[in-house]
Amino acid sequence: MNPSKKVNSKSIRRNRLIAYTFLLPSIIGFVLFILGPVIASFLMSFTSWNGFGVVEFIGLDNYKQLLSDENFKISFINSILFMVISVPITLFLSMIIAVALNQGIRFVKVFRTAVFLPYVTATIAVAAVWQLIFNPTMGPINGALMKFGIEQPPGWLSSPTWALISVSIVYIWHSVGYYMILFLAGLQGIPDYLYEAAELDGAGPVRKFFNITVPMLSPVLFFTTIIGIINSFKIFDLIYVLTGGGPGRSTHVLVYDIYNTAFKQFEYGYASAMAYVLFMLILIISIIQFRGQKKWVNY
Amino acid sequence: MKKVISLLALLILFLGLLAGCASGGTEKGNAEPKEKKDPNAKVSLKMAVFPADEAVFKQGYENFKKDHPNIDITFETFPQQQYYEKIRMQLSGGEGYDLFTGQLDNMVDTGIVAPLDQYIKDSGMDVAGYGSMYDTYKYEGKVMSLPYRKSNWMLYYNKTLFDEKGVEYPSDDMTWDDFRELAKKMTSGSGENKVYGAFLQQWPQTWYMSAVQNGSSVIDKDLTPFKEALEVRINLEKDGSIMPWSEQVTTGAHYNAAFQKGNIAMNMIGDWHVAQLRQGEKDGTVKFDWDVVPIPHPEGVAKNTSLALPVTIMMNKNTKHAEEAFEFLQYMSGKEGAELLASQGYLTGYMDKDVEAAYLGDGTQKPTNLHYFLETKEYPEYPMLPGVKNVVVEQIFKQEGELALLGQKSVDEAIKEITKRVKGEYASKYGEK
Amino acid sequence: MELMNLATEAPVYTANAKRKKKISIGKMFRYLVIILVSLAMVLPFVWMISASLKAETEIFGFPIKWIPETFRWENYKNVWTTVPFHLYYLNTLKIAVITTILVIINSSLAGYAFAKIKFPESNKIFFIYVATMMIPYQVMMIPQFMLMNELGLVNSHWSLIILGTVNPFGVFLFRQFFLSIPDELLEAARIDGLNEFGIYWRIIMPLSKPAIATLVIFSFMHSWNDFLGPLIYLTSDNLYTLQLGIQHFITEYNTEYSLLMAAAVSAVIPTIIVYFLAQDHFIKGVASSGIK
Repeated sequence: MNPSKKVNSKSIRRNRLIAYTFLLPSIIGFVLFILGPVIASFLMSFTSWNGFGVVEFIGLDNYKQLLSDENFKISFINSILFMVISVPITLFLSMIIAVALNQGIRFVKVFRTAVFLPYVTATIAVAAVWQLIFNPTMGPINGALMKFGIEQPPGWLSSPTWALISVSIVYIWHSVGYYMILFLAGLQGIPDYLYEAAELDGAGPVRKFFNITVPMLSPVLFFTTIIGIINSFKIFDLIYVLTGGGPGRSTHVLVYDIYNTAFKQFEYGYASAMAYVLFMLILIISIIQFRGQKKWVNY
Repeated sequence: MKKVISLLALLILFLGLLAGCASGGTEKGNAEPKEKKDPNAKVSLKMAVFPADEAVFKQGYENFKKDHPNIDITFETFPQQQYYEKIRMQLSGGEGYDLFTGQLDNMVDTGIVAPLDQYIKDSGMDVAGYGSMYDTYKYEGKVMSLPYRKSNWMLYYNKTLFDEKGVEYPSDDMTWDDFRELAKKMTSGSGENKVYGAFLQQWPQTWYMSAVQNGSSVIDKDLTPFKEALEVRINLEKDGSIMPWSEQVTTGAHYNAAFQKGNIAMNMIGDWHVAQLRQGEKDGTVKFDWDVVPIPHPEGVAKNTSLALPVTIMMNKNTKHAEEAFEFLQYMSGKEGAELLASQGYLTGYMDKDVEAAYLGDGTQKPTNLHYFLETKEYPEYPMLPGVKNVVVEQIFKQEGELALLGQKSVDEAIKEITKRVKGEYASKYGEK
Repeated sequence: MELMNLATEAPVYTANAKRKKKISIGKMFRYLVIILVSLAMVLPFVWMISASLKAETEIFGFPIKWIPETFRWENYKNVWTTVPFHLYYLNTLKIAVITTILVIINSSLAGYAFAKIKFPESNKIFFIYVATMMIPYQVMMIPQFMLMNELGLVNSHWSLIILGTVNPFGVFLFRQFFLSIPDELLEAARIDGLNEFGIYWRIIMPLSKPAIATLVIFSFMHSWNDFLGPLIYLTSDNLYTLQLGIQHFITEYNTEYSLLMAAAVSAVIPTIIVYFLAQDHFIKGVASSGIK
């Protein structure tokens, strides 16, 4: 017992030393520029401040106000809806596309670049184009729908019911390339011999996918799910340019609300409180996932 | 343990930063005119201006410099959409702009805008030229800024289209009903050949203005006058004389491009459009004849009543060179600056015979009826009241009005919702009616 | 040896022959789907190019005219001459390249520590890293700005470079990737006498080309397309990046779409190049060679 403990504490110390040496550049920057501001804005959420003058400490007032704030409730619900619609579809599509484009196709580099192109295009341009596509009277989508006999096609971006879905469509189109890359990187980590062995056993493409690809991809899948959810809650640029939060408040999501409150209404304290509620939401979802990973992720 | 200590250290650092910024804001400046300084000492000032105005301010400065060679001014500007965020961030970070332009109501809550009454008194400048806006834009009884432009609304019309259709030009005394009829008359065609009677930019002002013309304010307790206002726009859409709101929003329609295209008979927008159209003529993109006429008014209200949104020059309370800064402020917003701005097509805050002459030019530049701008009676688009965030009120009007215009809500429901939300924010403080 | 090869190869050969017939239909279907998907992805970009060559009034016409009436190449000329576009290009390039190099070094070192060195606080610290990723940038913006201001880094490219380097995303990425590299490899190296840094440099990093390529793409793109960061930290026009430069075409009173599109197209090219080049590292089956 004792000798092994001695060995352990010595090696722990040694490991710590090595680990912190490796971590040094990252941790300094992280603590100073990320952790620090995060804590500072947590403190700010208990104050009322407009960027100038005295910082007033107001305790939990901001949080109390949030509970009865209608704008906040609407953004909260919109954000969750958006996440639920966009994330699963995005991940599913990008995984399939990554598998399809992994190997065995001619001009695979060209296709991959094509899929990635939306992500690279400036948000302003993306918005301009999709506004045209979604145009309720003259756009191609409704033009086609009306030809097929649908008399009252959806208003898309100009309809409070359809606007969020329309934004999701654009978001999915835009992001698939991003997640495809992550899946491609993961796919590269799957050794070929596993597939070869399966083929010898007579497995078809579907079997290979579900029995080899998915399990071997699980660390990457976990990663992309977390990132995917986090990113969906952070959406801002696209909404800013595409709908400006409208029509009405149907595409008002949390980050847009935070931005508005902080930089258009100059209420930094209140905005920080909103941001922390958003943070808690994402944190809870992520903790659930971290706990769950033991069940389905293979390392 | 080490981690806890370092975390604590950081907490203290940040608290210190916050406190520092807090006190720094109120500590330094009460830039009152104090002792006499050497009038020839070199003074450097920094000024933030709108991107569209940078050129004219630089020009004004060149003229100003002739009489004030010891004052050196550098100008900075930021993309318009992010202008206020940017200068506020700069200012709160300690960046010392001595002067900055903008809408007073977007900056007054910072507490760093210097009251100008003492300087105005000391300089003996004539404030009659600023008209009624001088008093309307006082804040807590003090003059906080001086306007360099008024941004009145006007009705621009495409003379060529009216000639083609054989319809009489819009009169200077139309009611909103007359306007509706005229717009209907001018609308024709479809698809590629569509001609719209009018274009109303998708801002809430374009519909709520008829209520404001009657004397209502957007933060009144009783917003029933705005129901009629909303109906006006809805009727125009029903008639098919204007582009539906949904289409305008989804195509990002913009009044300048739309009007210049040539298929819109009447365009309702602010004074700066004059400069845009003149530029369009120079570039060859405007291929028709045009003129202006006052915007329509409600029954019983005098003709040529409009909304105005003054843009002003403000001084930083913490400036180290208050006297020199005020001199330039006075220059640009006063007579000489106004003459320069007017000659470039700006409808200036300060008006007198010479400025008018500069504005009208020698009569060769369009529009022929520029004089209408000079005769407008104005109501402020927004109330200038402490604690009221106009940005918020505007958003409420836009969001709810939009739903009515899209047919999602009835006008009554929309106005009810607006009333409820505005009350929740401010009407309890200030609504009179 | 050879006999054994023949024996194993024979059944594989026949299996392959059978499969070849089935594959062609499946493959055709695959191609079709891929082509459709790619078209959907690319079409808006094509519109962008088309718009960049049109006159302003032509842009929003219906039905969509894909080929402009006259090719206004002067749009591009205008974009590059009315504003110092080449300067913006260089600035953006400088920031993107430096940030990418630094973030790879930074994150891979940290990722290695979290993935392969066993120390008690590893998971807790890592969790804090991940947690901060959930906080939207807008929240940290103001305290970050105040700090940068105190450090005198405002209105300098270094503020943006530093902020790009401390992004926890890279650490997360590398940690996950390193975890899938078998420990046996490291053990073998340790027995051979290699120290931790040696393992990191000679074994782990060469195996990590896909992860490195991924981070290169993301970091470069993120720097390249960053708008909010440069907006906050840069005031002098000569330090501006492309995204800020593009905003020149959106003033309060007007948006010049054709110029905007020309600027956007000009700005997009380097990211496409970086992506195209980095792709190579996805094609080689690097990991499998590591196992052998």
